[in-house]
Amino acid sequence: MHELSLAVDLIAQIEKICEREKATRILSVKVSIGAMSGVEREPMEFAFPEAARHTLAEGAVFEIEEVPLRVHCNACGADTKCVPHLMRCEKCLDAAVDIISGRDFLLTGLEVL
Amino acid sequence: MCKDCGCETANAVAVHGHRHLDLETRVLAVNDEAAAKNRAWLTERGIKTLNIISSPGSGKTQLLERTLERLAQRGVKVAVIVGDQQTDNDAQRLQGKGAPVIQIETGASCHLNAQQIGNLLPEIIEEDTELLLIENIGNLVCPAAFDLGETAKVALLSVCEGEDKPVKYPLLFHDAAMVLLTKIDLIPHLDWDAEKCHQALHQVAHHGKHLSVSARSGEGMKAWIDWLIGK
Repeated sequence: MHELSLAVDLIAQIEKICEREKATRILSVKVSIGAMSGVEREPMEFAFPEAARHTLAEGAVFEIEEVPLRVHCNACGADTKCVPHLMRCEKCLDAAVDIISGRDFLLTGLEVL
Repeated sequence: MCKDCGCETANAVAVHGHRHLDLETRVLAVNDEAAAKNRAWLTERGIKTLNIISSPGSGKTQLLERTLERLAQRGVKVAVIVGDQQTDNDAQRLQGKGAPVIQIETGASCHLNAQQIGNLLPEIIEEDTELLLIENIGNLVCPAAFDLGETAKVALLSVCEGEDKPVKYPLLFHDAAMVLLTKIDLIPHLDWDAEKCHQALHQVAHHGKHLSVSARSGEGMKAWIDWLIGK
């Protein structure tokens, strides 16, 4: 489960931002998880409070937005949704697609005091 | 909703004076920066680096044993970093084949990260090194999420594992520039369906190359070595 080491990295980044912003407490943390980021919701939900313990983020609400995988089709030019285990253009079913979103695991927002 | 300022807030106990910070920061930024540094360092020295990933027992170490012997015969200078949670058994197997080998024991961690590789580069890379092979921890999931600064990822799939592994673990098989189907000498003893496996690979990636090899019998090894040294 690499989510725990990701949660530790996430907390380290949050603490850096809090130092810059002179925040004293974190009320909520928002992240987005791409369908093909290699990160799963459930282990992340488990790992976050563990990593947040004894930090400014302890007790913060943890919100996850899931970002679907989207691809660009090199055959017909359409941008469509798809699933990681079937990389196809939804429109023309061609396999020659490039990923345009859904790969990232991002910290997207903080609510701080 | 925040009772003080009326904003949409996730925290019911929010008190006045709170601030919302809109961000777009990659959580893997620390690893990515270290990976970019490794990539620049290796590229500057003209070293091709492969991050070799597979499930445990798919034959990474035996493939590397035979690969190192063949590369030595062809006069290619190679260095090896090998990762496992415990023991230096793999490094011991790879010693004495003409290449410097360093083992990383990760303890509880399920993947190698870019900082671990970066720390070892000055030690393992010699002036005439042409190729760096990194044997990642046996795991199809976690190592795929961590860039090490490699030129390309290589995925191994042994014929004993099942033809549909690529669709079950799409991230790795999508990203791999090369997929090696290993242990093909065992095919006569299995119900291996090569066509089904190629379909599964095609479902997750249209750009990767595939080769079938047996480190034990030597079948397919020449094509693998040719690809490795860019022929």
